[in-house]
Amino acid sequence: MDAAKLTSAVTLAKMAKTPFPGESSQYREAREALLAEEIEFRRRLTRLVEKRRALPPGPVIEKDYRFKDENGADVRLIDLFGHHAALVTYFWMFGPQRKRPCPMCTNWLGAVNGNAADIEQRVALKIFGRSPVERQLAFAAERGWKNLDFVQTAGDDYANDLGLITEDGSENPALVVFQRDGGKVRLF
Amino acid sequence: MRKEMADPGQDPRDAPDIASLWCILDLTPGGRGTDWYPKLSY
Repeated sequence: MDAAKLTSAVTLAKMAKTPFPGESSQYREAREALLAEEIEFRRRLTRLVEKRRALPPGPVIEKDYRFKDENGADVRLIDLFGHHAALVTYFWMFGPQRKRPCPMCTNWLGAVNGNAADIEQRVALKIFGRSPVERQLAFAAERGWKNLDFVQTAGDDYANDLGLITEDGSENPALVVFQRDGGKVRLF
Repeated sequence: MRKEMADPGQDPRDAPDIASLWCILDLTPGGRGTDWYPKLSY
């Protein structure tokens, strides 16, 4: 984003109109001031994601984490990229100790399920869980999720290394993005 | 994002927020609420 080309947020905010009649002058004024702030926030967000994408190369993942895919095949992290250069992963809280998955993870995955086919046009997307894939898929079927690829983290190295298993045996979620670098995988 | 990085009264959360649930509720008069969480069924 080239800051020199940006029209001031205050100027842009003046272009907005309320589509319904009957607004008070106080509402219009406050709404316009809010919109100017929203535009500033949008610009800050744009700079933020640009910075994120411009990070130096992340650490190479040297550990040979293993996963079981839906066919029962034993796969490596790099295998999960498919033909993509980036891999988005979400570790969800549905380990074997839980009768039912985490409701918040379930909420989020429901939204991601709706977006997965589009996301996968650009990057690989895998959902990691500690339960067998069949168990994860059974829950997915119950929710009507059809677009999510689940894998089982084999052993608990991944979860433990990321600190995702708490002292009482419950779990934390983790959204982690990896990048392929030749034959290696880096944290992005 | 670790628990100790959270702001007072909030869950630890990232910015930008990745959850459409919260982003949409943020646009409403009641916001996210302070003690409401989604459930698996209603």
